[in-house]
Amino acid sequence: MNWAGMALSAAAGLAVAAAAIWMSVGAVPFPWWVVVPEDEVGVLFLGLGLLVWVRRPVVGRRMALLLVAVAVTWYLPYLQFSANPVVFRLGFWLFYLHIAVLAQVFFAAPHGRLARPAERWLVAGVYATALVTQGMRVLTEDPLVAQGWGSPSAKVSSWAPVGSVLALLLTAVGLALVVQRWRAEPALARRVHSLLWAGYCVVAAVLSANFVGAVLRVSVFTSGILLLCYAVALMQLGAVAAVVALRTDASIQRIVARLLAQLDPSSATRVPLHNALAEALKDPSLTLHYWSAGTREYVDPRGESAPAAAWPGHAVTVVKGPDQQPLAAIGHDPYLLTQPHYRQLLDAVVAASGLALDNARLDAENQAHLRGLLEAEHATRRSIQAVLHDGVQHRLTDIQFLLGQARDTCQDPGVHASLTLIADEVQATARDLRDVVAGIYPVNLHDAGLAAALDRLADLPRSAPLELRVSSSRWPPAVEETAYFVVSEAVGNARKHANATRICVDVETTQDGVLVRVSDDGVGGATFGGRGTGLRGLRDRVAAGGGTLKIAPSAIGTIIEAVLPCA
Amino acid sequence: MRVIVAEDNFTRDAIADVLGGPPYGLDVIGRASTIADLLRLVDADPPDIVTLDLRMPRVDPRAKPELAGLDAARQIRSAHPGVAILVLSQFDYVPWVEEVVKLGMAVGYQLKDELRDLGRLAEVMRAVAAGEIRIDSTLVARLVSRPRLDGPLDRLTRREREVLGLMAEGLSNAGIAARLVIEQGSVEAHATEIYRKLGISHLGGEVNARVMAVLAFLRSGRTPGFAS
Repeated sequence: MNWAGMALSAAAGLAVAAAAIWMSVGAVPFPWWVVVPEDEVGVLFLGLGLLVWVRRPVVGRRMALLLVAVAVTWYLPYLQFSANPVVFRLGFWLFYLHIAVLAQVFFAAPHGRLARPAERWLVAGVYATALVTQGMRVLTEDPLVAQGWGSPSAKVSSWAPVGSVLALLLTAVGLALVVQRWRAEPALARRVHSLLWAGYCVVAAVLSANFVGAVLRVSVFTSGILLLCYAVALMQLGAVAAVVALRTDASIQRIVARLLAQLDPSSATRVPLHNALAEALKDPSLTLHYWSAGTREYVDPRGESAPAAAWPGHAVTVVKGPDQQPLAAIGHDPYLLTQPHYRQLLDAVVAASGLALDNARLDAENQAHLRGLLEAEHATRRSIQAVLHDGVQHRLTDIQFLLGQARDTCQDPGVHASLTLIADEVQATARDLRDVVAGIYPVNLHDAGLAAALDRLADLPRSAPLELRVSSSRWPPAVEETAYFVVSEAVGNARKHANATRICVDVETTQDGVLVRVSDDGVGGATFGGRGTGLRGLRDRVAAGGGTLKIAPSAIGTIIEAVLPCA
Repeated sequence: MRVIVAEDNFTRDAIADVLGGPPYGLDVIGRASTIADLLRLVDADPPDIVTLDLRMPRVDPRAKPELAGLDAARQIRSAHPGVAILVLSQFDYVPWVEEVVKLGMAVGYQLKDELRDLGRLAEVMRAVAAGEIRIDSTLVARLVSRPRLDGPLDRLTRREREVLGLMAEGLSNAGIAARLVIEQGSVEAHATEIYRKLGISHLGGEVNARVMAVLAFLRSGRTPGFAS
């Protein structure tokens, strides 16, 4: 539909409204404060319909047409003011048609389609009631008196109360369906629909009051009040329906375009994949798991095993690669699958994020491999440490003992002197070995914690003093191990290369995990690309645990900062 | 002096055999190769002193050794407060030494290097069994020479540094006087001067409180009240 078509529809709609209002002037029994709002209901719906049409020309078209249909049917009763008996009867017959269209608007929002059989039946029932009971009245009542919501003096057939009672029943059924839907719908759908539910309740209450009034044949004044309430409630429901249609039906192309922009690796405004998907699908509870081809299981973005059983309450959409291998599983609100519009959106979003998902999957898999390597390295260190302690160190102790015995029982002063020399050498060896063993793995880390384990690093004589400001908190073993090796390597580097007069170590818990900072007042100039692999190795070690390590800018000396996530 | 020796290797029998014979003449009443054995022996017949390794198998002598020695020491101390405890270890971790000192009097922590001079070991065992505290001198020397930011130990004289080291090893003023061959009164004067210069305050008369305070100072350069 082009702009000209839309303008034409608007003009035609306004013409209908103007003609209807013109015909009614002076012919209705109600005061102006009822007539004026009542006359404007159709105009309002026309405006809302056109607004939705303009703003959502593709996805909002059905909804726009329905809103315009309400506008047009709203003015059909005004045909009763025609002098032509055929036109008059047409107006009488179609008096309640707008209520049926309104019911369709309500239950079809926000996409304009009736998705559920029960709701389809209900809407069909409203159409049937509106057309059949009024049709019977046209055929049976003679003389046929123009009706404006139940003039108390008019003579009516029994079809009139039948129509009112049926309308009341249908309103109640509609309310039951609304309650049922509200209870069954997941959070996302509730957010979308909550305004509509409230609007329905208001309209249902007012409408019921009107039908009851019609049955009881209340006075013109009372029915005028009820009519005014009805007009206001309708305007409110129309506005809500339009808002819901406009708010939820952002065009798929626009969402996908935004998603692609957010996932562009070269973009400065790049958004993490999970957040971008959650925004595109309007589901903050969205979960994302990657298929690890190596271990044949789903893993989280850090590479930790995450079996599908652990994602309750979610519908799962599996994204497949070109070779039909799974890439990832998106866990999302089941509501997305029940609505054709969201299904299309889901398909489009999945197609658009395929490459990014594949990259993220490889990242997660690499992360898992790196962490496995790191764990294996720590385990190897522990076992080397244990083997040296339980084997070589014990044997050296035995040798020291035997040497001591030999020396004590030796009578020859020359041999005694030699044995003393040998014993001193063996002791020096034992001490060196103790330092080596302690450097391989801090055996007291596990039971005494990081602060106690780092204490030994301060004991190196004739080196820069080491100031330890280490929180006595405990963290997961893998995090403590990594933190220990970061500090011991960085302190070793500072001692070897920085020519520092003091070295400070700070370890504390922050929002992002454990912050490890080693700073010195030495010559500075540390880089990841320099001689040796110390800092680069350290960065890899930290990255393997999902953390980051950087050389922080500093006026003097060097500051190494690592953040180790604990989750 | 009645001794139980707990080690999971050759060292156990070597110590037991040599210490049991002349010239040391200790009464070795039990040898344990697991934590469970040790606790059973101590419960059955509490000795004057036990020596134990920090890393031993818990129950099965063929199982991998575990770091269970500290737990065993705590259990013995609570069940038999009169049994002196001497830890013989390869680990030179001061935090573990502090854990041992926390048990109270009649405790010791020696590195296994000491085994090359059994005469000294026997002397340490006698002192600990008599209720004293003995910390390995190598460990204490390393703590004393630990590099420090403001060099608080530079304010001490050489003799005061010697006294501080012996205080950390657990010697009483009388013991320090005997070791340095000086008057006990001058040891007390040195000690007062050391406290003043280093700001080590609130020391009770208990030797282990003094050892803890000195160890804590040597470790962090601060008095225990200030340590984080």
